[in-house]
Amino acid sequence: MSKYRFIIILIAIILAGIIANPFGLLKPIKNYTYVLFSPITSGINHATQGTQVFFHTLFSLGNILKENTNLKDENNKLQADKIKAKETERENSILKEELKFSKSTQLQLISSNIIAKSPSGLIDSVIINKGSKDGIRENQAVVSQGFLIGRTKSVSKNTAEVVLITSTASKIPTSLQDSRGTGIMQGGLKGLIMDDIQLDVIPKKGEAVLTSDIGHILPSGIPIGQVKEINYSPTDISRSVSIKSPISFSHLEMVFVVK
Amino acid sequence: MKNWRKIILILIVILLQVSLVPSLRFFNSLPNLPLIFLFIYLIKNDDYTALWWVAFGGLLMDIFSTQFFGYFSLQFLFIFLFYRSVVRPLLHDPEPPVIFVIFLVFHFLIFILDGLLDHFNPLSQSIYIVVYQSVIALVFYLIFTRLSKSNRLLLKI
Repeated sequence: MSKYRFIIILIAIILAGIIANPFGLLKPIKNYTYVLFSPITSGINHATQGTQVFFHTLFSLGNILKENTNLKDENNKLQADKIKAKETERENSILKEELKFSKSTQLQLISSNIIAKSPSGLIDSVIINKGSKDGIRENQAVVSQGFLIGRTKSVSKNTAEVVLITSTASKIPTSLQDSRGTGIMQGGLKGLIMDDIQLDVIPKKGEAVLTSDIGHILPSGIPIGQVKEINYSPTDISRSVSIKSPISFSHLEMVFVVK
Repeated sequence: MKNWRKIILILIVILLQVSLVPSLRFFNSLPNLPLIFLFIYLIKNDDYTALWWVAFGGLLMDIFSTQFFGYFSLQFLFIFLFYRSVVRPLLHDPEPPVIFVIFLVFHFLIFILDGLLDHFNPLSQSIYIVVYQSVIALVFYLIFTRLSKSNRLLLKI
């Protein structure tokens, strides 16, 4: 086959794919490809876990020393907080009973395994082995260890694509737990950034960041991480904060979709 | 040179790209193995194999990506055509330092394209991502060429 004919056929296939994709015609192809290769990709993931941890450690060696010192301080603080929390918990349960508080609705979770990860660095996404037949729909929250990691984007019968919160394509309405500020969190090369926080809100370092139900995209109250840094200069019209998630996004294996 | 060998190699590389490679993330950036292989074959003047990487590699990357369909295959096709028509007539049989510059330029072009498509300003981001990807690409290129000299099998693929 001549090179030019090869290029013309290729362009025709790409154009056909571009046209077919918005109508969902590629979903079965994607679905069967994921299902076909998921044992291999999952196997590679599992088999190379040691290598992955090695590279992750190597690339983050600088932060580990700093984190170690911070963790020691935090551990001491947590010991004290634990004692306080125990006391508060006891007090809380008594108050709840007295006021006949109904138990808060528990989130219904669907467990799923990651079968493939995004081939691109900027568009961070994963493919999970649960799809529409398991009750998964588009725009559902996905959590790991109780923290938000992303939301479902494209769902086929047996698989679903999850856009991670670290992706440049991810925009999540969020709120600050203590200062009650709201904003939009976006991923990207600079990490997780929550923008558009009202000027009268004063965020605090270490404050918890949760999902907000503004726009009714995700359920509110799902933890995302903590405020790492506050970015503000007097000329800004809103505040923004950097967020640190406790989740290691490179090593995700099992995640839960919030029903 | 058999086509099924190319298909198997492309398949292995793509499966590694969607399983192992995301763990090699450094400063939120990861190497693009299929792109590196495309460069290797373009530099080696093996356009037929390079086209296989554009066609089969690009389409498989599109299937595994959450970006719009054609994102990778069009990117690969652009690189293939641009290298053939612009770079190759200027630089025939380039040396490693020149190859590194080629990698830098192309990775920067892709980075800008990513920025335009994802609505972020690529120029506001640091250049280290492009440098990291280019260094990885050069390392792969050197390993591959060294292996090719000692083992004819790789050249056959």
